[in-house]
Amino acid sequence: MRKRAPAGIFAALLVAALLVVGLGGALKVEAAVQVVLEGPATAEPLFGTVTVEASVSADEELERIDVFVDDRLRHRHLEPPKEVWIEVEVDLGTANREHRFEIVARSRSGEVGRAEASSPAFEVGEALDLNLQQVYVTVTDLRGRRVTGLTAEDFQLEDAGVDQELVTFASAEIPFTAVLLFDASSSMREGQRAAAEAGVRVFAEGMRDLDEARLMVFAHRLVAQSPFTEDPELLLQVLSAVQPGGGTALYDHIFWAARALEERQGRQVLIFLSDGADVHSALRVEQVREVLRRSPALVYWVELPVPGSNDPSALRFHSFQPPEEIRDDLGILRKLVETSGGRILTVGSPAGISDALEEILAELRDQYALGYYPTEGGEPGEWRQLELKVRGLGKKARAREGYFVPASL
Amino acid sequence: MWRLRQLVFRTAPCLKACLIACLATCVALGAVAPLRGQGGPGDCGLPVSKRYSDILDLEALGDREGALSYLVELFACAWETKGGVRNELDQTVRDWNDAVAEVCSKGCLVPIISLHSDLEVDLAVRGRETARRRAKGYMEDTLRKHLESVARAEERDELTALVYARIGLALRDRTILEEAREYLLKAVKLAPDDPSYLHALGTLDERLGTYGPAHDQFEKLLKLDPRDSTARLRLGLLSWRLSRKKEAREHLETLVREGTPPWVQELAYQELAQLHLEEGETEEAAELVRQGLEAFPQSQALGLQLAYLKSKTREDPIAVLANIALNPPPGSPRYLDDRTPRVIYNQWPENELAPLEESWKKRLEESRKALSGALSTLRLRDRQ
Repeated sequence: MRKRAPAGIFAALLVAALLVVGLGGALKVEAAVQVVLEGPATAEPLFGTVTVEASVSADEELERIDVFVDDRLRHRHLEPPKEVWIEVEVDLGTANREHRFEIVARSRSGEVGRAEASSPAFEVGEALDLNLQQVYVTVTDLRGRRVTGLTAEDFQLEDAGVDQELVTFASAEIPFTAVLLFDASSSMREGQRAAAEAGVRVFAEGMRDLDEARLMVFAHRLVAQSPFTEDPELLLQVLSAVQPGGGTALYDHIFWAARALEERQGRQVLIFLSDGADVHSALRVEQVREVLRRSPALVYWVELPVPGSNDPSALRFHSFQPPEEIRDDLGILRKLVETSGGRILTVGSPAGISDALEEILAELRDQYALGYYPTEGGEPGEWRQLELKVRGLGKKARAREGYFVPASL
Repeated sequence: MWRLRQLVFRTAPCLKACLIACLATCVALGAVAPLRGQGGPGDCGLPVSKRYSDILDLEALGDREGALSYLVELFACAWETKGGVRNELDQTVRDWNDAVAEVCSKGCLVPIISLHSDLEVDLAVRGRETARRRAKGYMEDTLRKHLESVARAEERDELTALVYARIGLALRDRTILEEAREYLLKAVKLAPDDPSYLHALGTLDERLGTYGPAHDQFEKLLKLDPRDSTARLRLGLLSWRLSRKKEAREHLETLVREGTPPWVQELAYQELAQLHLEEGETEEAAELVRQGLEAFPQSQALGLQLAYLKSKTREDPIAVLANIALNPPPGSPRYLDDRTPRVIYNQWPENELAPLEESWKKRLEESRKALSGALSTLRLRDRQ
């Protein structure tokens, strides 16, 4: 009994303390915009169609309410009433992954209220069929024109020298998630904004259902970015806020874009527009290589001309690296792009950006997706070289050159 | 008579201004005959001496732009015309220098030295190497002539170093780097303890990729002032480039502890972390980056380094990246003006010669007045 008495006192003190904290909370001034996420319940993993529900109330007129699922804008309610109930149905698909729900309400005076919740992925003790390898392939003929209409039988794939049986095969209409990485210092120079905007519009309007893209504009630091979206206007909004100029920290932002893509499902594409000369990144090109070689993303480089590139001293402007090192780094970057299965499209001026992006889009449409289970798993961290052959005279297949065996397999 | 003199006296400044304006307009419109070579092959129109005299007038009046464009044109004309005009120009410059020096001992040649320095830079920018060397000869001749009138050796060195450093920096800013180095090296030899010249030469050597000499300049700077953080930062990074990693680490560690200004300290965190990574010390690198982020929470570079390190150790970097993404505020274009440490490092040091420039400007203004007087005296003497 003696032992219970102090516990009772502590419990009473605790209750009192909680009451004080509660009262303190109640006395706080309410936020101008309140958002409560009512559903779905996020304690368990979620699949298929779910309804996102939220209540929003504000002291003043609301400008808009945005519903994001997995950082992608799924619904926008413009000029809603001061008190409103939101219900939005979304298809989460069947992938086993975390899902993030976020409701953001903004009042006319700029006050923002938000609520968010995340559902977990289904825990699996051992990797099941997670080692399915996907290879995205572009096939061209002798003239470099893309070849379509091939079947699984036209391909022969070797993984680390061992023939593989294709278990999945798809062509055309494979959805993609892209990051468009624009260098504000080289693609947005005075008078070239229109070309950059036209390029983004061409790309965004060419996207189809389930495709999505994020635009990141960078200089020596990130200048602006959009969420992953299929809405061209959201992407263009980002450009409208950007001023050209600044330095180039390309490697930092390639790393960032690659990591952002890792959160997404399916075919990942990284497209960067830059002259490539980087002397402002905190990360070294070798570190970016390390990350990109582990990434499944196809990398495309729309290479813009280096200003004053006719001048032999054009690259001799920086203290961090001598010109020969900058050139070596550019060589590594080129190799990285090729290794990923993407390619470099050199444009003479920003006016060519639209054509280049249109070409990339067309190439993505005409790609084949080959899926297989490697017959030999390989050691975690091991590099597995891929050899891909395609039947038919003069036909060439371009795909990523290999992959690292993930640690979890 | 008295009234007439009053009228002339009162209208003199206006007349002078009108004359300058007319001359400038004529030069701009190309209406002044001497510069356009109206005289046909073998000559450039008016006598070279007359035109050089007009140029000196403009310089004495403080119109450097006009004087320089006039001089560049005269130089180009002399260069393109056969028939010994070049030699005539050489002789003219020498004669005027002698004449001005003879009637004036108060630095009258300083504006002419400065004008000829600008001529050399202008010709270098245009890539006219042979002409540049000739212009350099003019500048050296004028400088030598001027130095003959300076009594103290120290003052002579000081002035010469400043003239050389100014040309060096002007060439450097126009990315004519090798020639810029020649001048800055001369300036440093004449004034070995002047931090401005050492900084200028060190950063130039660094950019030229001549890391050994650059290391030497910053080492000297640090001996002159051990609190010079910028010199220490460059010395640290140069030591690393020269594979003296222990030395590099010591300098960077000092800067992490006590570096100022903040951009130097932030960059020291980033680079020291990279140095640890290169040595395979991932945990130490991560710890440094975390400390750096505590000191500089808005640093995107440190945030990305942390995300990279987390990827390396197979931790999830997404939260770190999301945190950095929040850093650029709405209306982020202003961030383009917000220079990161790396951007600052890659730019030439600012205001290197600011105090010296100030005294030079003052000296130039005084000397122009003296030159104006000297030119009037010479003309009066000619008439007599």
